[in-house]
Amino acid sequence: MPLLQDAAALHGLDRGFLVLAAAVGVLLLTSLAFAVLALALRVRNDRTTRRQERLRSRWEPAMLEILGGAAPPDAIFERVEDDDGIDFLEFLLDYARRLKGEEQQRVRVMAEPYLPLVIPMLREGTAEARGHAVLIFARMGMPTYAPAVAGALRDESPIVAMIAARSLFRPGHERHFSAVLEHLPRFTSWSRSFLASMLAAGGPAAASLLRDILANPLEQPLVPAVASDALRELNGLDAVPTALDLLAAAGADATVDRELVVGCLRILEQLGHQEHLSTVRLFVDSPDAVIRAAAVSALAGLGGVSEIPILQAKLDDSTFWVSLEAARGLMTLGETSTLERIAASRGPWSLLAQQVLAE
Amino acid sequence: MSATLVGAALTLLDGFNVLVIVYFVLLNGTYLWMTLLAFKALRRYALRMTSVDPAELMSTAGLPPVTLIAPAYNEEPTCVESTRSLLTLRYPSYDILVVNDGSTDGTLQRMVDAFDLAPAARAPVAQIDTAAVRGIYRSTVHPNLWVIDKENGGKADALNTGINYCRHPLFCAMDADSLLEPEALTRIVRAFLEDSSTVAAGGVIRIVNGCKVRSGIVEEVRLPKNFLARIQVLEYLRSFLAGRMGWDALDATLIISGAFGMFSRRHVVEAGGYLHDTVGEDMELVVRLHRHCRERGEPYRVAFVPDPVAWTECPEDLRVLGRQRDRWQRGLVESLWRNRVMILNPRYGRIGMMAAPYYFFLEVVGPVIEALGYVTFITALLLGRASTAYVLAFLAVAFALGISLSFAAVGLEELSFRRYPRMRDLATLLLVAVVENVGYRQLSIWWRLRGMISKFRGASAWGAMERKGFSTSDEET
Repeated sequence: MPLLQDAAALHGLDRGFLVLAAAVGVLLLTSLAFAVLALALRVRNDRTTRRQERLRSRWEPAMLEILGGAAPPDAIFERVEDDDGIDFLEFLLDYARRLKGEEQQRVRVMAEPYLPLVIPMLREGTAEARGHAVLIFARMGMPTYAPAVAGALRDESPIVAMIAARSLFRPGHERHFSAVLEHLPRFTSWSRSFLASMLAAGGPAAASLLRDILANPLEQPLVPAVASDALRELNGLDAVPTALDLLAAAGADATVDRELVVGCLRILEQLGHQEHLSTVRLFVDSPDAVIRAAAVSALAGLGGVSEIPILQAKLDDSTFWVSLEAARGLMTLGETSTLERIAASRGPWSLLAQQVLAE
Repeated sequence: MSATLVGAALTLLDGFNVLVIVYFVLLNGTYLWMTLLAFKALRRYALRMTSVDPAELMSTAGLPPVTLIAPAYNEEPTCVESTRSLLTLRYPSYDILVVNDGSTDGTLQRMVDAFDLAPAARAPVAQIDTAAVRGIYRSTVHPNLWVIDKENGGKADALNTGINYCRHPLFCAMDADSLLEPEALTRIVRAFLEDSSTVAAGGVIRIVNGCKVRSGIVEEVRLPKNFLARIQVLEYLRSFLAGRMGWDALDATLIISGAFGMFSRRHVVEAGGYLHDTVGEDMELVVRLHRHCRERGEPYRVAFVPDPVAWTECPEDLRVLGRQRDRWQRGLVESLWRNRVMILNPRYGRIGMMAAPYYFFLEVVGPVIEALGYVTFITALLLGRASTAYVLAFLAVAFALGISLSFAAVGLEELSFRRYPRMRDLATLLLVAVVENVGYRQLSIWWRLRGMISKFRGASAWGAMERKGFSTSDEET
């Protein structure tokens, strides 16, 4: 540090002071850099916004004509400059998200010449850029770019893989369903209801594959349970025998996944018949309150007057949710007199009964 | 003998000055680290949002139903507007539980009149101890709006009452005077969809003063005209976009604002709900949730999500602001002290080894060191133990660092959400970043120090917030 020492000697100050002074200088420069950064970002953002507005005003009139059928899709190409391809795709993506049917098809035709511009994003971009590229292909490049989207199922980033899975598990892409289901264990950290909704979006064509998963409880935990929820959403009647088999096996096996048992009980509740009541009854006294609540709900959904005594007994369950399901079950079965009696009393379930009667 | 005493005192003085410098380096080093982490995390988040469209998410049948719990105590001027804002939320299935915590003004009557409330039956789902419930009302025009009228018991008690009546797996705790943006729920619930082990998630709080509000929706974002409120805008940017984003990047979120956070009902009930005897019940709950899950060996995540926004009114005079900061500091001290077993305890992972020690040693003890630092620096100067040039240079470093961090926070805002569209507002924020270092910063230390003192003197008062109500589109504050 001869320079510092010389400077210190020159001004009669020690080296420590000069370090502090240097720190002040560096920090002030850093402050300046951050301020310039903030202003530069503002200038850039404003410029981007103005550019997008300019492009939008150039494309929008032609776009509306094309969507209205007054002009062919290629009428807009002459308005797209060479450097504006990606911006044009972003502009179209906004429409592709909102439109359906023939209008969406026109958007796809308009996008087609520019989609190759996205390929580098898929190969070299960050996870976020890859995810966006997959979304663009999924919305406007199918089926041409389906292999690229299917390839994204193996992307190291879970979010990219999820965008690909959601894009592929839709009617029209049935040949990719198996690939998505193979990758389902990657997504088990996602919410169960979200995954079930994604699988149900595949429509009836997905049902047989989902039944296979349900019938194979050795799959990774949660996957069969998700399949059961999706089958229920799809009203997949063929899932009932599988659910019955699983419940019969679970009755003797305490290690069976709770979520799977609940999923099967819900299938029976929604799609089963009264002949399945004996299987459901096996679970109304389960030590697991979640299973008990699902069983009580299923009992009411399937049952007739024969189940009323069980439901009445379950009103006194130690868990609120079981009592609530029992009360709702009594309401479903038209047994309002019991509820009215309880509601009129000053007992612990009076408020619950009043609530269910008001529902 | 006296010479020895003087020598010892001077050594102590010198030693304390070194401690001040070490504290200063650690605190600002952490701030800088968090800011840099936040730059990376926010950039990635903004890019990611181009692939996940909230409108598309809304169409997903898998969105879980949510209960909003809004405790209200003497919120007569703002309760109707706030509730209207909640009714405009774009979310497929949600209940609103406004818990009137024994208000002494006309809060309940205003709600009854504005929303045609009628007495209704609703059974409690959980049994957390609370003050007595006097009545339950349901809106005849908005069936998802409920008002629970109860004896006064404080904010934590009101939230616990809401939890007792919450039927959904997730609940959103908020202040009755906060305005949620229409997509706030869809955005914050994403944390629970993408990771089912999420037990809590916090959103961003922004200052509504100066903005134009119509029917509970912020229509035009502007900086407040009040100088104190402008400083708070900057503080909130630093705190949320830099601080919380940075800690979230380390998966060590320890604070979720009481004004807007979403929680797993089951986990909160299992942990015992909010504590009644603390003024920092929001932070304490999050610390306890960490502790609860860690001690059970349960996989979990506490997340910070930077784009769901709740707008809140901030104090515009020193007296009220001072009381608020006093309370925040007491809350911080109480939360950490009650859970002190976590501090520097590897059993609690990053929370125990990083977040909790940071908050305890730098944010709790910090004001004491900083305040004493001013005193000892002056003493050292007077006694000739430090050169004026040194002290001035040190203060200049502190000043420059303060400005850097604030400018960086403004940069983060420009990088991500750009809520203040006017160039004039941006320039004002940069100016405020310079000015706040002289006077306000020292005042802030005093308030926090006062919070510590009042904590040790056993104070438990909240300190009332004086509400002005939101400015509408026709009038601008």
